Amino acid sequence: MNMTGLRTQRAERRVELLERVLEDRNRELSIMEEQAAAVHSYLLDLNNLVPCAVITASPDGVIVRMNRSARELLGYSEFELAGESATRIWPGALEYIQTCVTQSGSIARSEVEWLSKDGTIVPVMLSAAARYSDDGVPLSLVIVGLDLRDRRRLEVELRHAQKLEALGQLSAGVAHEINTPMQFIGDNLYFLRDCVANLNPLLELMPEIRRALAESGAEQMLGKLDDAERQADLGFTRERVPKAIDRALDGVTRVSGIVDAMKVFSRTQNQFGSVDLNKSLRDTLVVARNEYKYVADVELDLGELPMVQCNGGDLNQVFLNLIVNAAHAIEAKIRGTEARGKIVIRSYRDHDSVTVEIEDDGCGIPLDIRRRVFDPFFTTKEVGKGTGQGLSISRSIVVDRHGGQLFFETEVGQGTKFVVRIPIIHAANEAAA
Amino acid sequence: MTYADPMVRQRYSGLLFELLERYVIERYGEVALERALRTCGAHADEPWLSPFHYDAEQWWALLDATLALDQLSRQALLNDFARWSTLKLLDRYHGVASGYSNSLELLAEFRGSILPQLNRFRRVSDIPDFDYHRVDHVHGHIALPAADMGWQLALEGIVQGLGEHFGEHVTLSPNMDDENDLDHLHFDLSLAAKETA
Repeated sequence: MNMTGLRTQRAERRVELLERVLEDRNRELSIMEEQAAAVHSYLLDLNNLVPCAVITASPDGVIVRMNRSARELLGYSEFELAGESATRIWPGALEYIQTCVTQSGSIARSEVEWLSKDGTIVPVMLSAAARYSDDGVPLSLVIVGLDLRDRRRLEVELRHAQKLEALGQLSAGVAHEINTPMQFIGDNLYFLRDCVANLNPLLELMPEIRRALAESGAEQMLGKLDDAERQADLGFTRERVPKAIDRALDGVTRVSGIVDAMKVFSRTQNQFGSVDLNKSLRDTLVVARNEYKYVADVELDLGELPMVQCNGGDLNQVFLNLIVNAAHAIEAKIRGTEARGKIVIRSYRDHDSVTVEIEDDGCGIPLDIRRRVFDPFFTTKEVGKGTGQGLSISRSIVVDRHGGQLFFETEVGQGTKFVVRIPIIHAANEAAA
Repeated sequence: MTYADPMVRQRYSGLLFELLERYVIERYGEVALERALRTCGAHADEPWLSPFHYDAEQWWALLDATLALDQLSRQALLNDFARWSTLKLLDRYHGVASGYSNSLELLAEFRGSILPQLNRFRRVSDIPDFDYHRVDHVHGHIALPAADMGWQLALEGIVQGLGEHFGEHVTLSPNMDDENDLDHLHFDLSLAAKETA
């Protein structure tokens, strides 16, 4: 070995090794940069895709950035609030941020109301976490806001649905209670009709009695009889009482029909069985009468149907939803006019299925919402009038529980036809057979 | 004799190895380095690199091999190496010392700001976590971990190198006042007036 060159040799070798180290480090750095870029891109996508509002703020409450959901929720453009105080969004922001910063490491949850750019109040559930330096100095705060508007609306709708359910149960009880007095009212009316009929032969003898009294010189008795006859308005009474009894009997029959329909309709039927769908439709029309009678006439075109293996209670619910929707669609179209609409209900057998069509000549379904009408909680009706669950539940009953079909044809301004198709023999029963 | 903690296999920065290698060449020449490398079992074509850390025992083996080149005592050699290294490092990283008027100021800054940064980035992780405070403008107090004998032996040379850099005379004397502190060795630093040119 050349001893005088050792220093140079080691220096050159050192340079060579360090170059290699540098290359390795550069390669590692390059890979890490790529990974960091990928992670950054992923986080950016995630930040913008996440359906919650994400706001980054400084520890003193200055907004640094907002994700897409936050901008859409609050109605601001991308950089509109950057550099502004978070109190622009809600007045209690600084207190909340201070709490988050002091609760080191924990996530502070709170329900607050944000204020959008157009002044709309948006209830949100907040979660936030602060980021700290190694020395424990707070660096930034990430605030996640979950829009609670849907939840609040669902809570209202749920309460409404619970009220309706309670009302349904109450109706069944009321129907039962009404049924008994209606029966004895009816029985007594029939008794009265018979009694009046039985009085007729006696009343028909009145002219002969009057003649006999006159011939026998019982002038005084004859005068009393004439007075009593005038006072009783016998002619009028004889003519009107039977008619009055008949009208009362007709009313009792109608009330009994309504009560029977309500009993059938409100009966909980969780079992599949043989059901006469035409009878279901008639019962449903009786129950729904109050919804349509002021706005539409109903035309029935019910074909001969076999008994269908289905859950009668569930299908009553479907028919009721569709008839009520038809009535509402007509009401929306004729509001402010003297016009009346028409609901046509058809039923017919179609090979192995039974088809029920409920067609109205109402306002029709606008193109932009046709894809959403079967979505849960989707409604265009005002709060309290529709839960937004009717068609969603109907679809679930027809398609999921009965293996059938539920679809519609519609034309804006002309009307809508909903078609329910139910297999005559349910698949589960068919398999069992 | 080794100076590493028997419980932990210590590692020294490659920078310390490089400094010792350069010291041997400068003081004794390349032939001496070749001999010392051979004695301590190091290969000529495997130089130590400053970004890495190596087994502390190898450093002490190189130092012992260097001792064999001269009639110096270990303490004297360590002192001289520490003084030489301090001057070289201050020359190489001249920015570290700029702005300070004397050794005590620099020591205070080194302990207060520079060492935590070095430890944070693990650049020279083998510098012990010593305590230092300035008593007044010309006096300081330093406490080294008692277990770290190597740095205790090198301390006098480091202080001499610092003084030489600033053109001043710094004396180091053991302080035995705190007999209860068995974990540290205490030293007083005294700064004499600047030497005139």
